[in-house]
Amino acid sequence: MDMSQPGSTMRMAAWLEEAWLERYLNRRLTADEANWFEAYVLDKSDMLQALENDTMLRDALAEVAESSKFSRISVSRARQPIAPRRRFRWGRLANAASLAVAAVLGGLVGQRLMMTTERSAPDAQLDALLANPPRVIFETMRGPTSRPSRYEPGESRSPILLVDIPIPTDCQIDHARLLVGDKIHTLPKPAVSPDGYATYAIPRVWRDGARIELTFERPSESCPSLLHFDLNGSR
Amino acid sequence: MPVGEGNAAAGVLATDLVARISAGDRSAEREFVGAYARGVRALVRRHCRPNDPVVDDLAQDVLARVLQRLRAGAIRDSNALPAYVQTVVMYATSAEYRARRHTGSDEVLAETPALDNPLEQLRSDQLGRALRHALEQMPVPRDREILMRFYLDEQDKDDICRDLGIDASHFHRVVFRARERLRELLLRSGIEDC
Repeated sequence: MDMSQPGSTMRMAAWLEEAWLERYLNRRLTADEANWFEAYVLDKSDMLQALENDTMLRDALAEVAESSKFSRISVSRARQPIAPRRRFRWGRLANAASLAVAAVLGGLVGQRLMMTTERSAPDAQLDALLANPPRVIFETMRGPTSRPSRYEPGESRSPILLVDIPIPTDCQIDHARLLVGDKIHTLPKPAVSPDGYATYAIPRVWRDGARIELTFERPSESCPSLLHFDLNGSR
Repeated sequence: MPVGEGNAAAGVLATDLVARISAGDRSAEREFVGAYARGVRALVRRHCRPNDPVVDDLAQDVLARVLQRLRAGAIRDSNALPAYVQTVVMYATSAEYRARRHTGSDEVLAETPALDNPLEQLRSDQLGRALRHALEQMPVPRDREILMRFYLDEQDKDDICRDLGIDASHFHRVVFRARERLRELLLRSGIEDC
């Protein structure tokens, strides 16, 4: 079958259609192959049924997930390879955050660390510890002060805690600060991901008492002047 | 006979259809919509976020855009039509989500009722409830996690197997059973006749 001619009037053999369908549903096709296959099935109702069923299953799973009835089994996203994607990544914070240059402060390893996404001298031991850090996720903003929606435990020895924060649409961050007890640390302005999230890395030991404070430029009705994200209760 | 069923006669009709729409034949337009509406909706839904109420509007939009191009005579090769329709689906869905990023209209849409057709809505609700129940009844939480990761997080099978410490055969069993369970539900509700 010529892949450049999905509109061909000849159908593939049934077994071949099955094989294509299975690979498509199991996301084993390349982007080009998937596009071709989608064009091929467009007017084939028997094959469309399988696609519709699969999408229906996905939608039902999404509803179950949203009900928050079940806790998820957490494994770090940091260990997952980044594969080329063709579909939208919708709503999962796992895929949303861009890791801002992070301020890792304090004497965690006997010295002050400044973590950036481009460290000039990779340290294998540190890399191992950072491979699977715990993560606090704020999925929604609830008024000026938000509490975490989820906590993913990650590697217990990791000195780092990642914090995913939603940033209101079209708001520009003016200042970002980390408040720990009576101490205030200035955080770098994060790079906001296309899905509207920023990620900070902070020392894990501060999880119970820290608060991230964001102030925004040009506050408006849709853009608050100040937001707090309390890490307390992130269990 | 509907267009594009994959035999020679359909091919002749498809070629004819493109020419007829270009010539202003309204009945040919209806034939086109009849042949492609289901496929367009299936693809739009697949490329949209789960349970997004915008699916039907986008599907309409795709069909309207393609019709516009057909009327203008911009598509002459009937064999190119499916690929063109698929491209418009991709374009329309990505444009929709890009636009939402700028307008912040996600929350409004999330509260919008999905379907105009009450019967379809009822059927969808009932099936959804049954399927949710089936998923909730899964005895091993890890199996549900497998499905969540595969369908919602869109993780690769090998990654899921590695992270959860399962082998590929178990993964396939879980996904296969879930699909079969859905098929049973569809059969029971009279939706699928195969």
